Amino acid sequence: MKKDIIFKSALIALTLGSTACSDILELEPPMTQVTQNFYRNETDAFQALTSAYNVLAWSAPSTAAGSPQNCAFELVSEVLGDACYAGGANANDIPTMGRVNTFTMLPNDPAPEALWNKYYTGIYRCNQLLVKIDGINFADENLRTRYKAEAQFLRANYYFDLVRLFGNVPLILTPITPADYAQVQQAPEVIYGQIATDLLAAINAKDSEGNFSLPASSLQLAAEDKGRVSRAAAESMLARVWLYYTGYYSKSELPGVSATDIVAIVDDVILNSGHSLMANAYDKVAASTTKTSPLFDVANKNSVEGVFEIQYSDLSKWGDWKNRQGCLGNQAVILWGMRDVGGTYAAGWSFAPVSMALFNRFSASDPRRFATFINANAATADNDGEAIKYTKGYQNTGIFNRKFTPLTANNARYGGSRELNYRNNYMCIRFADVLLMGAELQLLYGSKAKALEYYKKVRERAMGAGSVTTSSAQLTLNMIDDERIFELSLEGHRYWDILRRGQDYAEKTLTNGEAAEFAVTYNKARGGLMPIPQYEITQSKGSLKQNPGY
Amino acid sequence: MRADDALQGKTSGVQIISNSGQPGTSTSIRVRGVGTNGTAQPIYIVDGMTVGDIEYLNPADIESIEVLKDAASSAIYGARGGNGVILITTKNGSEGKTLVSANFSYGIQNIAHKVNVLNAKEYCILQNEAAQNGGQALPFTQEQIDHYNRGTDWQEAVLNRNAPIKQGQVSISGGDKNSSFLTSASYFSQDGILAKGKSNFQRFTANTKADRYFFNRHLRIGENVALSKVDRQSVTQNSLTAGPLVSALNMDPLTPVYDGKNTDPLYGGFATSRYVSQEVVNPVARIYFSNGTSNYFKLIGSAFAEITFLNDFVFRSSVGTERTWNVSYGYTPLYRLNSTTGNTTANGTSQSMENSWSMSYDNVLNWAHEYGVHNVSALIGTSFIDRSATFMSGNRNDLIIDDPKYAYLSMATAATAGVSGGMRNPSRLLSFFGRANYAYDNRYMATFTLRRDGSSRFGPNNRFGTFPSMSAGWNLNNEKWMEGYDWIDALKLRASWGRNGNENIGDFQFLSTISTYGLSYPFGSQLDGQALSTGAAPTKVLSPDLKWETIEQTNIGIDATLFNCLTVNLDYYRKDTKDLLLTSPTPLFLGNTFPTMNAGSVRNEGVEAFASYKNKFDRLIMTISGNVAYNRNVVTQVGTYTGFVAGTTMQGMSGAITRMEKGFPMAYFWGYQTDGIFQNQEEIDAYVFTAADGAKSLIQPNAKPGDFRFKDTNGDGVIDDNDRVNLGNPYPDFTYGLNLNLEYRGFDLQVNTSGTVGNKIFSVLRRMDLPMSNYQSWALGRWHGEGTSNTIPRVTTNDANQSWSKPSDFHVKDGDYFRIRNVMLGYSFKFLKNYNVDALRVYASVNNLFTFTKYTGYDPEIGGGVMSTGVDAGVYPHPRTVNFGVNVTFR
Repeated sequence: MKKDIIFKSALIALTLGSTACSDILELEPPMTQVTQNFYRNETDAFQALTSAYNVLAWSAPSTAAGSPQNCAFELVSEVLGDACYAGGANANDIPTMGRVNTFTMLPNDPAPEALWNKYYTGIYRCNQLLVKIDGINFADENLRTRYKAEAQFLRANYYFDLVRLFGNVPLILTPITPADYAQVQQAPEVIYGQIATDLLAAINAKDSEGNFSLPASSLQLAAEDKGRVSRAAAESMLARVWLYYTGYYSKSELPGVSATDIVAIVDDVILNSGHSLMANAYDKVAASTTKTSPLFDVANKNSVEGVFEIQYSDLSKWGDWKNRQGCLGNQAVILWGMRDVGGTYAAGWSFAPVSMALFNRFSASDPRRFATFINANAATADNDGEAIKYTKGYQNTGIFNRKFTPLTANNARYGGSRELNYRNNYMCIRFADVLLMGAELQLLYGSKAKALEYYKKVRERAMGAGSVTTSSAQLTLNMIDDERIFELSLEGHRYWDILRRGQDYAEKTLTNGEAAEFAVTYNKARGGLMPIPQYEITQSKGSLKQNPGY
Repeated sequence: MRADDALQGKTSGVQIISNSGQPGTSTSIRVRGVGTNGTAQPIYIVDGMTVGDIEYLNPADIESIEVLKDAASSAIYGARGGNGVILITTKNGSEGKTLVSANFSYGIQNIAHKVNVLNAKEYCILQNEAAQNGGQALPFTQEQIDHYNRGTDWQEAVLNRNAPIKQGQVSISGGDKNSSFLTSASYFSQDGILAKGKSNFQRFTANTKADRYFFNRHLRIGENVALSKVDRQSVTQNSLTAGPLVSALNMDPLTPVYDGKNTDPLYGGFATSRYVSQEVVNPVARIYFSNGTSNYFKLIGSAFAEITFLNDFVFRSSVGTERTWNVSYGYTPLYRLNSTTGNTTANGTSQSMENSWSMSYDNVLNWAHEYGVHNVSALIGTSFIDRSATFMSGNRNDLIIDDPKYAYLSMATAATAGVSGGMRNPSRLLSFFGRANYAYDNRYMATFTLRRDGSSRFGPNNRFGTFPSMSAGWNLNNEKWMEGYDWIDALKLRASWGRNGNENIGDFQFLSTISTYGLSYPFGSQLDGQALSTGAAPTKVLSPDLKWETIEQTNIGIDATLFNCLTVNLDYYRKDTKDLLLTSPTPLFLGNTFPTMNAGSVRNEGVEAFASYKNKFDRLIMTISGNVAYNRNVVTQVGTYTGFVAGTTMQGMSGAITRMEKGFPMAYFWGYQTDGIFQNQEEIDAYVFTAADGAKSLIQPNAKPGDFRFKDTNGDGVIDDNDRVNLGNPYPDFTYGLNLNLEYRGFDLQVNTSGTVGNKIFSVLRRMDLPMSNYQSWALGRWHGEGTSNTIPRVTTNDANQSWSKPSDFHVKDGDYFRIRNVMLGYSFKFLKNYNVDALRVYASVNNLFTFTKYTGYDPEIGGGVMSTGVDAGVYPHPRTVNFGVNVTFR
């Protein structure tokens, strides 16, 4: 009896003891969403997609150490190019900006590191969604297709900016683990091939009824969806990539996209997307009062001309100066502004002051001069001078960028720091650019008549109907290139337009022959590329190699 | 009064730092140095069960405390034993008549010494001098200076003189041949020596413990239930931006405590300073307007069954649980302390509740057998611990009645209220372990232990870790050839090696969590419908390899008992902590923030000696024991990109002041070296840097005579962060203790002391960023003309050279101290047997009687986290307590 009881109790205890197995150590945190319990439904998928869009708005990305850098892509592009100097309060305001301007960047400079960080963060978020999306439960399968197409567009966009800036970059298409830290750089054609693949996939994605998954243009987007990717955006982006890749690398085509293909793709945007040029874009009367031309007025964001706009807003009411990546205001705006001005203009930091040579290139009769520049100098004859009282910064020319200048009317409405919350969109691709790309492609690979037609549309909008008297036979690439300057100056395109015409042209154009603090000498050995951040080379234990010339 | 306070100065190599003098404060325990930048606390095992903390324990219930320091003895605790193990056994009843024992004591506590600060007249003089040096108008006229004398003693204003400390406890215990029991209850209350009514601690405990044998002693069943209730109120301490103490030191002595003329009711009749600002406010008002209590009720229960079978086998199975119900209340009135500090929007209240619990389940099978001279034993076992918690909290503004007594959520009327609640992170630990002992002829012995721990805190690739240990011993005195040495009673050589872990690395660190902060995007046209769409992305990448911190320790020791009265233990150890958890930078192409990684190592190496002498001289029984330990700490690897980990910061000073860096001691103070004071302009002009091209430049262009000369340690001509060096560290080279116990007739005398050598204190008791803050009295020795001082710089309101505010060796002080912790004199009455009283003892004691130290702050004993230990920004000082008590035992 007694023995029996002892035996039975021992048995019970042992049984209980042996129920423990290692499965019971697999816990999930109940208070936090984790990768393991996220990515379940459409809401999660859209939030993941939104976070991939979020990186578009990073106008002040951080370095590895978390220090925010004033290096909005379009502003850095203009400082690299021949339109702008570094500027700032004095020569030491942001030293890295000066080195961007003079092609003397150092491998441990913060601006390249922050940009590198921005694009790989964007790529990571796209990769994360693309890896997870097939496991997500969608009530509407068409949404899955569309989100996928949008993520592919965004990934291509991030890779394109990255590869333009750095040239030799690793290709990462899935979230990686410490085992994958020894990344190597891929040949540019591999990166561009991937960009083309992603963009073509976005363009050609079809829903269950066989229609294109992406809306034909941003005009088809519902009011609350403005800013999302359209087919026109993807096609136009592909054209930009195509022109840059074939130009910079002297190739006859982009992997997978022939010249004929791209001519047709751009034509599709021009003829079928519904986009057109904004009629009163450069209305000088309106611009003289508001101090901004209608095309760049925040009241006209997401207009008929905006093919792909990077959305900015003052709704995030940002005030955290230590982390400016979550800020949804356009933080390039404050950089462009004049120092210590008042009234309609709001004070800025006078970075990227504009070259007088560029200003002088514009004809006084071209309304785009006033739309593009603020001439703060005293008025003489027809120079649009406004005799503005402001504090002169470093490399001051008196010429500032009107397209994105801070205006008192655009100051933060809901709180947060004024400097961080300008709501000016950045029109990454606008229809005028598409028309000029179309003109260029038609001139080279298609119909000269069409080329002239597209060129004319752009120029005549500004200069008036009938102002273009050139025949299609007389139209040259140089004319189109000039028109790109008049139309698109200070929007972040010029530097890339220079580079895609070859290193000799770049050297000739970017070595400016100016004196003293304005002098810039292009370094051909570096090919116009930024240095691979030293931080990355160290962290990859040397598997990443520095760019030539550094 | 915490149970582990009793260990202070008693065990070599175990440093017990009471974190502050605030009632109910916790202790920092460092067993053989610090091996981690994370949690360095040992684990507590009470009667075989792991508990989170021992604050709940009534010290009188404790039978014994043992500290396991070497890996061989703590190996059986595997992944949790790396920082040492504190084993506590509570008292139990014994066979015989039921015993009743009671103990009461009452004490009064006072501050041991105040910090000398300038009085009103001195304040005016120095502030005038600072203004003059700073090129500003003088704040005080000669008339004012003449008028002022001592002014307000702000420290006196916040002190609670003769603060009471009381405790009482009663226990009943007994048993028979087959059973035993003990039941006890206790009460403890302590008022703080600061902030009367706002800094105090109370504890009630009730405990019952019983066991019984059945079936001819084949089965034994027992249980233990401990209940405790703790209530506390605390004031912020050791902070330059909050708390009353630092305000008391920095407040100008001109301002009175009260100002009846201030008509703004938000000031509550308290005066405000016209000179100092920001968080330096009237400390009496600060205390008055601070409200908040927290309390918990804790239940710790366990039960076991032990089966003895086949003579040699014992199987023990036990279950235990620890449950804590925390409740805290907050009340914020409408008030103002000065123009920028206060709450002027709405009064409000907050309340939070947390119910945390853990369950443990242990099974151990023991076997032991003697085969002649071979003595063999072994055990195998499993253990499982499951921990979690739920919580709820809320806050709401606009109280109907503005009174802390009615400050409940339902008494508030604001339309919006904050509320949150949910589950806290759970964690589980599953373990398998075994141990084999072999002893031959009581001469040679060896033990081998193996434990395998699986923790939910570890990444999926490293769920389980294995922790082996082995030890060997040799009893030399049992050898035949030792027979002649009669004066050697015992002599043993020991050697051990073992590996432990530190599982205390936080929950779910390996996971990739999803965040929505700063990830939105403003879709929509801006005229209508633009809104922020929420974005979500992982905040960090998954680190599936994350694992425990590993501690490997080698120990060699000698134990000896000589002349029947002298016990000596000597130990040498080397302890390597590896795989410390650090946030290690990873390449940016990862696209996400850095995960936590196992990427640091620390070595602690040292020797420990303990000696105890016990003898009887006629009726005098004397026990003297002393211990001393030397420890050398060095960080051997920091796998971060920068090569260091930044530690704690100090208000008004740039950058972290402590660092963990390869080749340096853990948490060393990182700062500038001063090199005397510039006595005149010529010296400043002579302090130049000559560049490679021969150009000369001033190294300290902003300096004025009377400012510090900082060493340009890297010789680049600029004084910047690159010149900061190791200025010492807060961990002592030597720790020691001396204890004396005398018994003579009915009298007993105990003296306990402890001390440290070689530890530094980073002391900043002044707000350097607020020039009108008061100075400590030593500032009177400042430089005020050529040759007046080479150690204390000039005072100035415009310290462009940052003589005062640079983290420099000026602020690093020697923290060596020798403290007479406790002196107790007791008398036991022997003639009371006739009254059925077994024992009656009365005693008087003084705690913290005296401290020998050069440190001029309140207290050189400053605890804290691993990276903030020894940083004094106004630590709540330990009280000096005079206690009277009585113990009585009867049957």
